Amino acid sequence: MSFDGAITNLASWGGNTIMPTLSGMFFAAAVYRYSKSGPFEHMLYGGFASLMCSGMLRALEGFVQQAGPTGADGFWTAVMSLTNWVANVILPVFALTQLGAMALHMGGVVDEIYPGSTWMRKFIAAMGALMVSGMVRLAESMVTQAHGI
Amino acid sequence: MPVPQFLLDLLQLLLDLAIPAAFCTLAAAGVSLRHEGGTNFHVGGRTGRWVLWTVILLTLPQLLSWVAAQGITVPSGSGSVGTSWLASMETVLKNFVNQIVVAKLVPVLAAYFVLKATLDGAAGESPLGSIVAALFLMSISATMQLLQGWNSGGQYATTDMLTSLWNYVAGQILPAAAGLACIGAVINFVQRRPWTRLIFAAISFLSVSGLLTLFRAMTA
Repeated sequence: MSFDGAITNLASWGGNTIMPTLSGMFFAAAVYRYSKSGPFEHMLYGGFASLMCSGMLRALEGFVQQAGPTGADGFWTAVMSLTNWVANVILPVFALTQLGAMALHMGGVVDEIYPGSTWMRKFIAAMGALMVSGMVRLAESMVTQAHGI
Repeated sequence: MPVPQFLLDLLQLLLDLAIPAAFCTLAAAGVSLRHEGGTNFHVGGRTGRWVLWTVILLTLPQLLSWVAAQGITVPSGSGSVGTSWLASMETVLKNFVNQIVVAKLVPVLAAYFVLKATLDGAAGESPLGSIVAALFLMSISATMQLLQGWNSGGQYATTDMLTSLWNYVAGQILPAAAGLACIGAVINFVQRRPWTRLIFAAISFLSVSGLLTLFRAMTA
């Protein structure tokens, strides 16, 4: 086995075997932290990101190859593509989440039905704890159905 | 005045031992790689020096042919060792490198680095450096075949081999390293450690040839 093949296999094993497995651990940790009113978003996003290591690499490869693999503008094009992607893909999705939060606030959900109240948090955490496998399957299906660049 | 036969045999012995010595220097490069971090190397450090010596040893006849082309008389080294005890010494040294160093010692060293990787992880450090060094040592025979395949056979074989080595690192190793950088970015994100530099590192790994072209254009 050549050195480059070994490094490729290591990256493939890490990205396609270990990280998707760890995503379940991250989702479970997110549920537990949520039940304790702790910051759980990093674990939740980390669970999704663990399923997307290969996709992230494919995205970066796509950014770089827009200028040709050995083009002098490769790095600049890749950074510009990354900026475009963040500004025109990620931020609009983020805007949708903010609009959704705004609608919830306007509907009085946060005031009258407070999701941070203890009984509701415990209920949601219990449901989440029973559905970690389902959450992983859901996240996997979301990632599988996602389209590359 | 003719060169004494003993000196010619000694020269032939040294030339014949160049490839076994290259195996040893490549193994030393793997050990030095871990010493310098495993995922990085020091400028002017031992890893670079051992790799350079490996390339020089593999292209020694071609390097001597360049010296000969400058008008300097270089004794021919294309025969075989005539002195019997020198010939037996050559056989012993070659067998030592092949049967002990390459076949037995290097795999043990690689296993030692695998052990070190687990201990690094237990100590809260990144195990990647030890893993890369272990993979380097485990693939030493294939790397040697690769290096020998890059020998152009000409007077500039040394620099040709170094150029091929650069292309190999930039074109084969670094794209795989970009995948490892993505994994590292996710792990750092979960652990609330700096992760964006790894994303930009992955982009740099994928575009290192383009960066070379860019800097060449800057100096043109």
